[in-house]
Amino acid sequence: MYKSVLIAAALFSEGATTKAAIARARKMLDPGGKITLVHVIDEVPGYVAASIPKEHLTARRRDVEEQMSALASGAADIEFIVREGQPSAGILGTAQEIGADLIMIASHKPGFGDFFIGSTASRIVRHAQVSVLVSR
Amino acid sequence: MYARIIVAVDLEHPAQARALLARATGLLDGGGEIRLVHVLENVPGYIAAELPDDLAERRRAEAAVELRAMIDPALELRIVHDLRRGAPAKQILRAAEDSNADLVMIASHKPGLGDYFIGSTASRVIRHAQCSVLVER
Repeated sequence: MYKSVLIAAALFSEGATTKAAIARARKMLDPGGKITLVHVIDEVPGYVAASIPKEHLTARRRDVEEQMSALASGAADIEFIVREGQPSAGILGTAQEIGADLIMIASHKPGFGDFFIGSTASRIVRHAQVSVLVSR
Repeated sequence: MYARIIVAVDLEHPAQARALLARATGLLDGGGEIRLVHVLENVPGYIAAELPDDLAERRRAEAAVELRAMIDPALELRIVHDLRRGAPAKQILRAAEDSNADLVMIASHKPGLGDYFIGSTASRVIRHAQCSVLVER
């Protein structure tokens, strides 16, 4: 059904939602299709970054890369990308770069607050040029 | 993969609606059910007053025929149609709730500059749905 699926990977609870997303993506993937995992590390404001040790940030990135690599588990059809910045912009940018035809993202069940603020998922749906599956 | 899928279609874009329904069929579990939903938008009262009395009823009957025509007879038992009236996003969400859907599928246009300000039915559905949502472009 899809040739290139981009999964916005969440890493909490050892990536449980991401593992479920990968299983689902495999079922929706055309033969020969590929899966890309992307994780965007939220940027900290400059004044915060200036007062924490640099090693802390590089350690965080390394940690994320290790978790992503474990999720990809060396499968031939899975690649992973780690970026920094604003999550929705990073996910949309990656989708464009790799020519994804489906973006998969997990989201919480919306409550009252979402009437006003929205979420990364709703920003992605608003601006993506391709199909988006929001899993809840 | 999904047991109860809502396929929200706009009858003004029948080709897109058919493509969406075909994709939904591929995502449906054995024994699952698709609910094909179309929402007839209400017209404002000051316009409705100028229209022939039976126009709304006629449009409803036509829409029901168009919806039914979209369903492949081989899949008739697994697809029900659900014609609603009101605000599209709200009615789609209500249809999902009523049938306890686990996936809502909706087609959307490719967003442009205007979507920064206004959004779309799809983005409203995403914001408020309690289940998974697939937006097709």
